[in-house]
Amino acid sequence: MSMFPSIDIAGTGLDVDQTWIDTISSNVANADDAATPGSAIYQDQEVVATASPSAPGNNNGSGVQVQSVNVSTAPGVLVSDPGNPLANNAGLVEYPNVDIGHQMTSLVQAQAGYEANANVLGNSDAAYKAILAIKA
Amino acid sequence: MIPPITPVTAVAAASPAAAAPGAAAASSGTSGASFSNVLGSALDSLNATTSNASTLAVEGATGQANVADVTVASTEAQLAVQMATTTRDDAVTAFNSIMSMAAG
Repeated sequence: MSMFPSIDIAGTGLDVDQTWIDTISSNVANADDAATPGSAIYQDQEVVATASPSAPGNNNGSGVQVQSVNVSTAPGVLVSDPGNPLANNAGLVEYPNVDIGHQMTSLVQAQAGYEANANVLGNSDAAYKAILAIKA
Repeated sequence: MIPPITPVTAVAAASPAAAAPGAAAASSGTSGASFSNVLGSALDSLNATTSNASTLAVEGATGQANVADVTVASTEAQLAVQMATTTRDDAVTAFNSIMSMAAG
């Protein structure tokens, strides 16, 4: 931990929210990946965040970190589209089980979290500058 | 890219014979970190912070680091340099006070 822990902590929040936005971006980009049923298909990704372990004797915490990026195991959605070249004998095409509505609400949350952490960073910067300005 | 500053180590009471008797007595009498120890570790920290910022600036420009990391590193570097200059100014002010006291 550096001399300015609050800035470091805000930075960890920015990193996690950035990863969250990245996975949402990936989910939305791959939401329409068609595949023949039974073949490999894109799976929804979900970021799991957890508090970073604190140093001994430090009760202020040391930020947040990405614990894992969970890959969904839900089966894809089967759509009847006999004209599609990827359709199987029954005329079915498989699409990833990505809920665009859920992705959009998550994106709003991630963006708000990112902005909040950016504000914490900016206000910490202003606070440290204020204490340094006393003697400058 | 600016080459990193070599780490500064504390030189307090390295040669007690050369130091004034009062200064030696003061440094041996105090418990805990002396001013020069604090200054030395602060400068080490400044060195680490600024070299980290300069590394991340290059990584950010080449697309290897994300914007948030570069912003955090540059903000910390700016604050660390500001803190160092503030401390330096105070030390110079204290030194000048002592020198003017001897002259007067």
